[in-house]
Amino acid sequence: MTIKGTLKINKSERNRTFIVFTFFGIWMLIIVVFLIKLQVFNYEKYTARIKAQSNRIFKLHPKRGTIYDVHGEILAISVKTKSLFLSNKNKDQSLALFKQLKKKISLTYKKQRDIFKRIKKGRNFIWIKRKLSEREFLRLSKIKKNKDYKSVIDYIEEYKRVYPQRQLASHIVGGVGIDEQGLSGIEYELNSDIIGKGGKVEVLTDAKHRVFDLKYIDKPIPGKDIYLTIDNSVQYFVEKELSRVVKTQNAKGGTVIVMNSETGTILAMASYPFFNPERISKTNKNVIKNKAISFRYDPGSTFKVILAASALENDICYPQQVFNCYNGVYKIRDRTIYDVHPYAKLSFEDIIIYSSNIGAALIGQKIGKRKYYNSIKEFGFGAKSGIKLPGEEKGTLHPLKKWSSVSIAYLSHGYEVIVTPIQMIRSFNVIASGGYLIKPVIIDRISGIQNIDKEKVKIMDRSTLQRISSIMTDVVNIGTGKKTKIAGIDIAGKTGTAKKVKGKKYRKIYVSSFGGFFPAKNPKITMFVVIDEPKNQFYGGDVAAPLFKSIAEKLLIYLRIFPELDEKNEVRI
Amino acid sequence: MNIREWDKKISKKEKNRKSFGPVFVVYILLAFIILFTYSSLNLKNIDYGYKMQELISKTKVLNEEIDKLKAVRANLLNLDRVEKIVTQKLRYQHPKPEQFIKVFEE
Amino acid sequence: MVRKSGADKVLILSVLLMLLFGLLMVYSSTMILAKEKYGDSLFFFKKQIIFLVIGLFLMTFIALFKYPIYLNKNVVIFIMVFVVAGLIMVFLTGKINNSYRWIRFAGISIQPSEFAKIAVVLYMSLILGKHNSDVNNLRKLFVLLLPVLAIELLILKEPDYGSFFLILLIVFILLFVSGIKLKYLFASFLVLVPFSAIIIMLNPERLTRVLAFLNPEKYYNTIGYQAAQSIYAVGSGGIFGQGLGNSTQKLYFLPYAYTDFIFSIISEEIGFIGAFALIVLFAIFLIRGIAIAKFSGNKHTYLLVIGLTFMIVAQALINISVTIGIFPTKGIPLPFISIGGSSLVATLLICGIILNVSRHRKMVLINE
Repeated sequence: MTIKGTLKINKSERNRTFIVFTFFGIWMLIIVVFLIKLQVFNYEKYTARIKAQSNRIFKLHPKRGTIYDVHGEILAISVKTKSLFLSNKNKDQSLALFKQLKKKISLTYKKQRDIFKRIKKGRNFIWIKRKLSEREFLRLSKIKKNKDYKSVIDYIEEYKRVYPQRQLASHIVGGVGIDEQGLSGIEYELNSDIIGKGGKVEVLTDAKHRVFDLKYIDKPIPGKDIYLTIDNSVQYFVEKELSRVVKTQNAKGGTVIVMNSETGTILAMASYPFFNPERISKTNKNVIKNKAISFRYDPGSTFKVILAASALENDICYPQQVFNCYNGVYKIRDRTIYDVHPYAKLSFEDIIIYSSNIGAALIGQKIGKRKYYNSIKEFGFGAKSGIKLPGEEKGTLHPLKKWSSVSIAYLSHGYEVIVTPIQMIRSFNVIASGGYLIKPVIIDRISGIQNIDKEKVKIMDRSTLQRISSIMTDVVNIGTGKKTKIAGIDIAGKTGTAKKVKGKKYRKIYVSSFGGFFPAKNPKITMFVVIDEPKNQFYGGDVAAPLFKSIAEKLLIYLRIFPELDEKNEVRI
Repeated sequence: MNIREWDKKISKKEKNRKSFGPVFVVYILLAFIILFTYSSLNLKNIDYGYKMQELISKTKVLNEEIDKLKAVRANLLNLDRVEKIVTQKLRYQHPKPEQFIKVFEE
Repeated sequence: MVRKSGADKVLILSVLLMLLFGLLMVYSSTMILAKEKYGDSLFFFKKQIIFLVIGLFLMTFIALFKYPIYLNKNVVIFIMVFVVAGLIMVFLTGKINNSYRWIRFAGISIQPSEFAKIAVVLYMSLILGKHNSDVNNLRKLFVLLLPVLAIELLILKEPDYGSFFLILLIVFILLFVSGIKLKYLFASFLVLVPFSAIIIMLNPERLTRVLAFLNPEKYYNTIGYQAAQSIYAVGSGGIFGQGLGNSTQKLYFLPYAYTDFIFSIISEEIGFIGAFALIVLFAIFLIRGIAIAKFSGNKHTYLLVIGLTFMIVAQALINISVTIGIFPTKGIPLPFISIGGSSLVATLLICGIILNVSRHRKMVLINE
């Protein structure tokens, strides 16, 4: 096909095309200039814009470490919970909504009034309840689904500290505040370990807020898990027996510490009254105090063990040495020391076994100030035991120059010196452990790393130990501690009954205590029992000794330490 | 310009182009394949990023669930509760001393 | 005597480059989306390849025409009637995205306005390229332009402002090239500018669009969002880009990243280098197109090729101008690159016609 009848292209058309072409060229040039402006000169600005909308930086809250007992049973754990808040946009709507909400969750009347006030004041952000229980959360789901309320109430996820064993070992574990900061016990002492370290993370998200890339700016360190030396089961029956005795004796309080004789690790440490760590904020400060390490008292007769050890170690007395006990009344300067049961003469052994104050005073005077003072110091009195728990008291041991002429006599039977239960059990454990002053250990391992913070100082000779140990065994077998006796097993112990000072005077209110260890020949367990102000009975041998026994019985079964049994209970197969 | 000369000129030019054209197309295709692979690697990177983050968040949720279950388990093992069940429901009693027997193997 | 020469190879190569480039970018910008939406990361890519094959087939088919039937008066009139019918049928299909643009036919959607563009150029070159046509005879010109006016009004009714504006631009270019007196041109501008201003003012939606264009940051949360996101994408590309496939803007920040805003993703991923290269390819296309038109030697084919070439390049430049914020958002795809079957097929049809003309250029020489 040839094309006929068409016009040739003339110059003007080509010129005009060139004009249009030039126009397009300029257009392209403008585009290129714009591109240079956007991509070269404003590159940083727009990169920042893009970053602002797709990069998000989140703070990461570390999860608080879990606290376990020695067998890995949980004592404290953090779980994610939801906290409910209200965005107060419309007061009337908020009020109506809150009326519905308060039916679904438990709130104190005071809190309710508080929230009402806040809504009326027009605050924007109002906590309704933090850390809802699972049940409350489920009950709220219907309201949350309501379209009108969807944007009014919402949740923030928070960790909540849960103590599944409630009051068990509450003084050791301690508790936390609303923001999970440790307030007492291990939670406080090891807070920096348990809490971990928060981190920062930068995420890349698309427009639908879905993350597709993640970069740690600051890697979070999760809180460390703490394994205590406490054995939940032991702690449980210790607490149970303690509370039973405190209740029957109508006492003010009481403390029991159970220790592994060899290693100084604490198996149980209970102080009555207990508290529920989840309600720590509503608990009296005095209750939260761990009395096992902070209860200051005059030890009374239990201190005679230290006296005896000092006398024997310094070779000042021998067990059969006889002392004149002045028939129960011994005047020294302007003071008088009494014995509960008057004795004319007692051997060194018997002074301990029958707990003669006069005898003790005589022994003390025989030892002399300096040597006795040194012994007391060696046994760790007047200094903190160093156990990893907060709030430990160091007691009071006056320096020698402050001792009066009668001080030695009083210190001999446990007055003029103020001790704590943990100091007492540590000093008793010197005898049980074969002469070592051991720092009590409460932490077994942290995040799988064994606790190596151990201190052990040999302060006594083996021969002395055996002699004291046999005297203490006799205390239980024939002396003041008879109520501790368990058939088939030798228990070494010492009773104590001390008057308490109230208003600068010793009154007829008592602290009854009993410390000891068993089996006497090969000690496995050292235990110390203190009952504060028992009202029905008051002698250590009547109040503390039976408690010691009932706990010891259970411990023996639990730890598979079997007593020598009667013939009839032996089965041969 | 005479037509024959023009013809010759054109055909010469075209010969050059003919030898050049297909090679060029192959190059283009090759470049395309390389770039396609490169971009698909980058895209997969993003895609796996999504998946990974999804899995990570799932892990997180599951770990939280594990912690919750641990707490529930611990609550069930609360010794008060266990003791109550043992003594009240099952009516177990603590053994009396005379109930202990010692077994000797001979 | 008719002698054939080969089709223009530079044009073919530039088209080929742009097509492959487009495929690459379609894959890059849709992969994540397709995987999420359709479970197949190659969903859009495959679709695009199918249309590409259809388009390339049609292009070759037309390029190989022995007789340039697209110059035939009856054929052109037939196409015009067909296109007008299509543009009317659009209103029977129902709204998609607030406009009537599509005909659904046997499972595929066709966008008649894409083909209307070709028809208008075919028609314009026919009426202006005839030996007896006088572009300055206004009464006659007006009568002859009536079908074009009808098409424009139908497109305006859809509404598809992008295509409307593009056709208008091409009509003016063709009138201008074919020698219309400048005073007529100015006169028509004097009529058109107030007219369009009134049209914009009457419709609040259109008004906000223009306002959003003038101040995109202020309208960021509503209508200016897309424009702003597009500029962010372009700007963050820098000189060398984030790397192919690495755009974050396509992750739902920039809506329609794979159609009207694919240039933003190109700029983001390959940076200024890639964007500039693409513009250069369009420039090559334009230069070759004008060269082919010049060599075609007669006014009809000259106007036809000029019109088609300018149309493709104008469409590209409008699209790019929108993405970098020079123009308000229009909804016009980037030829060769953007996803869209109708657009791709129509573009390749145009290339087929241009190539066919380029094959016939010697014939014209001999005629001389």
